[in-house]
Amino acid sequence: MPSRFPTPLLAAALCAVSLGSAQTGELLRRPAKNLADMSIEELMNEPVTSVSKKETPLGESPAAITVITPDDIRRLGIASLPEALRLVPGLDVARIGANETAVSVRGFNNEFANKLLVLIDGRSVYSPSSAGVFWNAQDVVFEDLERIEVIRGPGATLWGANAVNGVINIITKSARETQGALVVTALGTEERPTTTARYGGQLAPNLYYRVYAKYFDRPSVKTSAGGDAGDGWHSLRSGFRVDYEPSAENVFTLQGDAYQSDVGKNISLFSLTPPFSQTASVLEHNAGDNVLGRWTHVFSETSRLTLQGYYDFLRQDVGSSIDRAETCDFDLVHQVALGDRHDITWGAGYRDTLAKDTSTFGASWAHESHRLQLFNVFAQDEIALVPDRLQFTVGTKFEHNELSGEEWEPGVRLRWTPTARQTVWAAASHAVRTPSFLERDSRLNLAAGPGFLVSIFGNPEIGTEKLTAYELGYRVAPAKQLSFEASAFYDVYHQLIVNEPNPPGFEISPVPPHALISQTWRNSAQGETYGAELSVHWQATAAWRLAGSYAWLHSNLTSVPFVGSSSPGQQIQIRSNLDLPHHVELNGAVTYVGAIVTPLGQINAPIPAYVRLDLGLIFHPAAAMEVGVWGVNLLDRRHPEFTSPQSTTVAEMPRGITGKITWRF
Amino acid sequence: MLRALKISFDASRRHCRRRAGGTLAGLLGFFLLLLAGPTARAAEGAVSKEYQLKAAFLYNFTKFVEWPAARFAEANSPIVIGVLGQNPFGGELEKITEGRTVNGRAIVVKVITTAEEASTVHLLFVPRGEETRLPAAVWQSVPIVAVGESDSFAALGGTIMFTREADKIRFEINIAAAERSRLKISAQLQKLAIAVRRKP
Repeated sequence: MPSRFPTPLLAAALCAVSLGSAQTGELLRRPAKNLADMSIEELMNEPVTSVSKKETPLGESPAAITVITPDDIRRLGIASLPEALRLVPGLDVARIGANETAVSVRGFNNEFANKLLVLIDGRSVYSPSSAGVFWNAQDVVFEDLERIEVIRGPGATLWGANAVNGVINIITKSARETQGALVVTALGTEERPTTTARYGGQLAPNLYYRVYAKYFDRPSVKTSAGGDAGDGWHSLRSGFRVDYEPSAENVFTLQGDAYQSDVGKNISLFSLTPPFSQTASVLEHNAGDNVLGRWTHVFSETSRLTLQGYYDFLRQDVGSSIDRAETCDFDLVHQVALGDRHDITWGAGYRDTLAKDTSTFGASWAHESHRLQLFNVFAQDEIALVPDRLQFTVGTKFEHNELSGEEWEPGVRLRWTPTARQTVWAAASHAVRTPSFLERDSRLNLAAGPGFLVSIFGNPEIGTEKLTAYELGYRVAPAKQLSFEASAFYDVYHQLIVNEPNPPGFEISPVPPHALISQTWRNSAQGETYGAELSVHWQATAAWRLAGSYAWLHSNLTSVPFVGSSSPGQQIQIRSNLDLPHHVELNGAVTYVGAIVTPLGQINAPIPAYVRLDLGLIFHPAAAMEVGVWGVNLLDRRHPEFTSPQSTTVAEMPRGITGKITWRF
Repeated sequence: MLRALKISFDASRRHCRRRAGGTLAGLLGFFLLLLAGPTARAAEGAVSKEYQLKAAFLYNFTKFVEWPAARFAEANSPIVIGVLGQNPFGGELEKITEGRTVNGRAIVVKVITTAEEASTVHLLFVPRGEETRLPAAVWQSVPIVAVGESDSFAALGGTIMFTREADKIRFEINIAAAERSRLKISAQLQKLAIAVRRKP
């Protein structure tokens, strides 16, 4: 079926919006206050533009939300998105090697952790082919980052399928906030080197742009046996962003990126003829580009519309097969207050993904191309039951896709704010994970020997995984300098996809004829997970800030050999940011990550617990210059964090030291 | 290598590209339609809310700064606010300061283009994009409150930098720069700043 954007909808929206603009635009202009009579405090409370996101203060959000600020990232000298996510309580970040990372939350970690949705400036980077995020294809200029918002728990009511255990929103600054030139160079045991250059300028009044380029070259690490893991890589990325704020009612953004990278890997190649199995060092060529446009229009103080469209192309080597996917996506979101008590957010979206995957002996596909069209509508109402005290949120998303049909993703949340310093919240929500093209359509040959082949078969009948989650949270700030947050969850999963063994068989093709030991993906597992995340922030003195967190997770899943669920039971982190005299900052973090008892497929040995110490010293020789040196993993020479199902060896993360100069002019 | 891959994938890609192109064009048209209203208003010389606010900030800043007595010829000489280069305020700054006095001094607004003119002002606003019009020494050597709005201006040793926090205006004070220029900035203003830099 040919794809069609819902044109009548667009036309209707267009008419409504342009009418709205012409007729009410002038009416909305409030009589100008006499600014000259306002104090500085009053001026500081005046919004520059009425196009501000409807934001709930973080302390009052009825969800387990953590925000990573650019300052957190700068202080620890963090150079990659997965490393930044280590700062979030309960986030499970495990390096598989130099260029691969497993990132998940509330269980089910894997190289392609499939229950976590990730968006960069509103663009989904979740791959429908592999169900997961290619972390080595995602990067940003950290100096241009506004914030990373991490929501633990389902976000499907607003974000839709695959926002099962969490949503990560990576948000970059507006071009107007990144004016001038920036040059960053980092050199160290993990960077040889990384260089970033960015320039931001103004094209016309209220029209700002920035362009950037970033190159890095990162060396390979060692395996537990002491050999070279062969996973060195380098990447070149560049992009632009243009922001136009012609009036208080409109903000336009156009942005795009392009990258290519060469990623080293040691992979196992199998054949039915001798030598049956051999390890090959390959250099994977990955590339991608994207362009996104967004327009936000304010009709009135209580009504605001955002329209966004993007195109994304990705080429990624996945083991021995190559995944090429292109996506067109359109979203409309309207926020409107009805009366004093109802805040409605509703919207619609359409996404069309066309993926092509090449077949090899290791991974072959029943169909070489896959198309996924996704249509969704959603609505959410935040109801003030008792103004400023009790709020009830109810909403649902309805999605339709050609592969798994129709899905409802409802959720309810209750927020009670007994005092200005305390918030209690509870939530119940439903979320789904759609099967990947891989689980639906592929055949993976995992091992071969004399006269036999071990394979996993995709299942065209496969359905979605389903989660019902119950959450409870509490936040309290006993003093201005001290805040504490706790969240607990009980997650019930149905129809989890696992590979179940088939009776032994026999095949004549591929030749020579051989016995077949096979498994097929089926929705046959279920179970529950529960746990809690605690965090505390303490501004001990004006110059010293401490943060601590603890996360606990317990999984209780059915006994079928469960592939792809390997998360530590406990994690602890303590961070310290200290400003010293003479423009020096001393920052550090100690992280404990518990053992992974049943790693992937239970083939590899358990991953032992580890403690990691990172320390950084930053010096500002001039207002526009920052020089820093960081030591990471200081406590041991190297340690493993995860194992890849594709590899029989385990790569280990080494101790490292990096120096970085940041210069603005 | 990449080129070859791109060609091989071209056919399928063109399919989506064409669609993407069409819809992006549609989106652009949508934008333009909406722009018609606001830009028409902008052309009438309306000053954005941001600069209306910034003008009010500049007027307020003069209340919290003490210049060396030698910077004024007489006890009632006016405070001169200079705007360097392209004036983003329109007539807003004049409108706000008209008929008002600070410590018995009237306020005069001037648009400045040369270093010589700049050395006569008490407060100099350096709009975004004008940072390099004059050498930074102009405001580093004379007691002038240099107010800017960009990171690159901060790097040039300005006294006060406007920043934004979401959609609210904030400012930072470089107290070391103020002291070097022999300016006294009241503690009250320092308290309102989101950052007070003490480094050189």
